[in-house]
Amino acid sequence: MVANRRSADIASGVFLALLGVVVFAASTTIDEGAGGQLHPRTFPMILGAMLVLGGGALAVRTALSRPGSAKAVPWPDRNGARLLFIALAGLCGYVLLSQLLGFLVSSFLFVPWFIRTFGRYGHFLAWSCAVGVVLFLYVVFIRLLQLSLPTGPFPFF
Amino acid sequence: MDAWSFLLDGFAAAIRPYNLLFALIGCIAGTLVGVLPGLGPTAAIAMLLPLTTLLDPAPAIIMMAAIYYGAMYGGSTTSILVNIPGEASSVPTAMEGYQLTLQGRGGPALGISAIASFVAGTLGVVGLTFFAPTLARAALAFGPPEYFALTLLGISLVISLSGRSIGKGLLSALLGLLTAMIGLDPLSGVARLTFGSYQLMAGIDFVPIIMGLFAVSEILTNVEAKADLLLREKKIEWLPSWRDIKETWGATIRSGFLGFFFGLIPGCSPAVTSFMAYDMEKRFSKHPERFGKGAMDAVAAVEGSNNATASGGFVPLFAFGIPSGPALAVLLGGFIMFGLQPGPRLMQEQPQLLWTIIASMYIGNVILLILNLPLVGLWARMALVPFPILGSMITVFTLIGAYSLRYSFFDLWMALLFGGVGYLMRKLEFPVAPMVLAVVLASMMETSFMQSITMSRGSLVIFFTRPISAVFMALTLLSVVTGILLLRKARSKNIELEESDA
Repeated sequence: MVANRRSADIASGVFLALLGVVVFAASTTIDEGAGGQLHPRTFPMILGAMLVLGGGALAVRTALSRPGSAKAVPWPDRNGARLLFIALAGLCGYVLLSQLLGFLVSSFLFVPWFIRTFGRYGHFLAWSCAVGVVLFLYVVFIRLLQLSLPTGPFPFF
Repeated sequence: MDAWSFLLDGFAAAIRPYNLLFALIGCIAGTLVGVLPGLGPTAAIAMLLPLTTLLDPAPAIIMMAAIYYGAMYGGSTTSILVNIPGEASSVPTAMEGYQLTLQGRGGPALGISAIASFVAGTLGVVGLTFFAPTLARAALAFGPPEYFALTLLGISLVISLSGRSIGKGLLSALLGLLTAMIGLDPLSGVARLTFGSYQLMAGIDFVPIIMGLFAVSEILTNVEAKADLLLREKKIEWLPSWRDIKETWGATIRSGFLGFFFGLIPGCSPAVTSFMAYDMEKRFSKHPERFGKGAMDAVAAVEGSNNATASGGFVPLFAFGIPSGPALAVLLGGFIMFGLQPGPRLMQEQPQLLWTIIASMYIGNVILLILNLPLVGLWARMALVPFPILGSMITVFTLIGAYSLRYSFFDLWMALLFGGVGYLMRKLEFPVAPMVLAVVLASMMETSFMQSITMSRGSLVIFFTRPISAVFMALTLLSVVTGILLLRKARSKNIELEESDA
């Protein structure tokens, strides 16, 4: 549906207009604050309305323009889409693991997974990088900068 | 005694080995927190504050000040090399610097960034030395209407940041303003657009937004393209040439003045001035067509303005005890911890201390140049690391940086969410910079507008009757009109080029 720039602009215009409607509707439920000349909902409401107008204008103006030879949107091919999905899943997995196991362990697992999934590198290089990253995190972030990063099941860190 | 005599006394104290050592420690720590995404000078100064109780006031404050301006030097490194602007002020650097890295010119960009930081930073310290009390009084003439007019001028830069499509740029800015509205109303404390989420009540910090829009979306784009190396060109340059320095000299000086004068205004952060410097340079540049594709003068302007703003921020702090940003507020806390209250009395009662700190800032800038220039070649080699290795490390440091700001996993999810938004914006050709600019300015814009309206009892005339505000309003109009004209000129040039190619 959004294979070329023209259809992509129409779709994004419609999406932004709908988002504007949601924002406008949500703004009507904002409570009144104490004092002040303007209601706290004023700015979000104006922005919602502007988004409806702006998004609508983008969609309508593009729809009314001559189709011509519209440029293609550089969406990924099948393999690219697969890699993109894997990367997104990996990033979400890393954040979830960090909550459960702490940053050191999750980074130790994430770095070699990423290197081996998106590049053809051997175990030795991948795990060496993992050790290097974890050491850097420990020395700089935890010891030197004294950041209290979650350590998961290893509180002695 | 005049400023020269005070300054010479200050130098005599600042070059004592003990003070020099802490200036060096501060510069190294500042560069480190600047390089690490997410970690800003505010957090670094706050973390080191308890440790400084063991020191005398002079070395302690010299070190904390060095962390602040040192972070401005370090902030450009990841922006230029891997497209991770750790702070909002580095966003325009990332826009141009990363393009230069892809062309094999990351080294020269880093070198120019260090030189511009040194020159403009030193210009700022000169301003601080000789004009502090006079300029600080002028800066105090800023009230809510002036701040609102200033933010409006900032928002007008969206036109020049929009690239080919003003419409999409404005929509991008609207999205940014909307994102900044999420959370508690700054004046009344009422929850807005939180949809019942307690986590959204604290708002969405701009660091995870920037990290998502730039770093995470960059990773997704490279993964999808099965990239092995970030570099597009085989020829790599390690250091800036004399030609680079000559071509960026004007940009450095102009941005130094702009950064310093806007830095005097409390609340006007390096994030605001860096976008202003970027816009100004686009207008002054002999090659505006290079902007967005890797303009060296833009890198010089942005980095110069950052550092000059940092120096300018010390003027209201030293003259009146008013911090112009969060990092300087923590530094003010450091002064108070030692029983010192910056302001006119401190200038009279402890001139030796104050001038030692000012002199140490000259020395600090030299130390930072010496520290940063030799590292340029080393940093630039980062672009030779294969993407699968570099990408994994970028992900880890970006996400930990986003976490360390508020110690919240919610911020990590926000970084991922905005990574998806940034990816889609790239594909659909929506410019990202207007969104970042809007996020940065939104809070100040809304608060100052509300306060102005309360002051004027609902009348908008207040923005045009006060001289400074009226000047900013006129500049906003001028910026919009000239921005549109320049865009039209650029478009017709493009059409001519396309036609001649055909």
